[in-house]
Amino acid sequence: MGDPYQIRIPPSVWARMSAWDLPAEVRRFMDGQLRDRLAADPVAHLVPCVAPWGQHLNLFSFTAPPECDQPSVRHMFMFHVVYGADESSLEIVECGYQRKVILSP
Amino acid sequence: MSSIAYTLAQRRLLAVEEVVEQWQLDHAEATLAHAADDLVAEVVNLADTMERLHDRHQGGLQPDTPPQQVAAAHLVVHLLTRTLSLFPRVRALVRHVRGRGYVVPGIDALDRAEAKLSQYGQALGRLWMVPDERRVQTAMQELEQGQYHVL
Repeated sequence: MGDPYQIRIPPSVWARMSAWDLPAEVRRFMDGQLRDRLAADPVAHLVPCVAPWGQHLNLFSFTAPPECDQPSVRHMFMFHVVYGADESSLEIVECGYQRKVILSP
Repeated sequence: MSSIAYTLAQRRLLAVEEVVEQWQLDHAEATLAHAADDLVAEVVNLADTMERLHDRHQGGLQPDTPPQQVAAAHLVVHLLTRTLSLFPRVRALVRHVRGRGYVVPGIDALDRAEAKLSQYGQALGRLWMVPDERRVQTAMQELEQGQYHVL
């Protein structure tokens, strides 16, 4: 494995991520997933997908583990990524977040 | 759901798209009312195929959903979008045929199918956090202009 990729987030995506108002531990987990997992080995973690209009993108999705917040709350993340033209960066072109409350049986 | 279901849906969509394209190029063919009738029925049938794909994903994203299933849901929204793009084209062809005095039944079914698929596409897009075209275009423009944060 070579040097990690640089993760680039354009202002419009950055603003949406900032508005999620994540608990600090969840935010740390999310940043770690992007910086340490995705950037280190995108081939292993990106899944090719097709956008509704036909553009080919790559998706990186994950859920924060229960210990990051209350056990009944799940934080789910979705990032759509393209490789940078410099072949050493990953550009996040879309982001998504859902918070789900898991009801006990 | 097996990958065969997705492959078959894509091939059916491609076949109908090709026929619609051919019709739009060849106006002589478009004067045959029964051909227009068949085309309307095919598009409504295609909508039924897409509805079955939708039903498999209507539960939405779950905490343990594997990424490959997320990609499959994206594919379904893409197929729904392409299927929806057929409806205005088929209506234009039907108007052409009706202009020649022929009756083309099944338009109500076409309208109902379009409304249903439109609703499905929007719902699945929200449930599976499918990308939004304008937001992606904005992001890519910003990146092209060198505007970005480095994580």
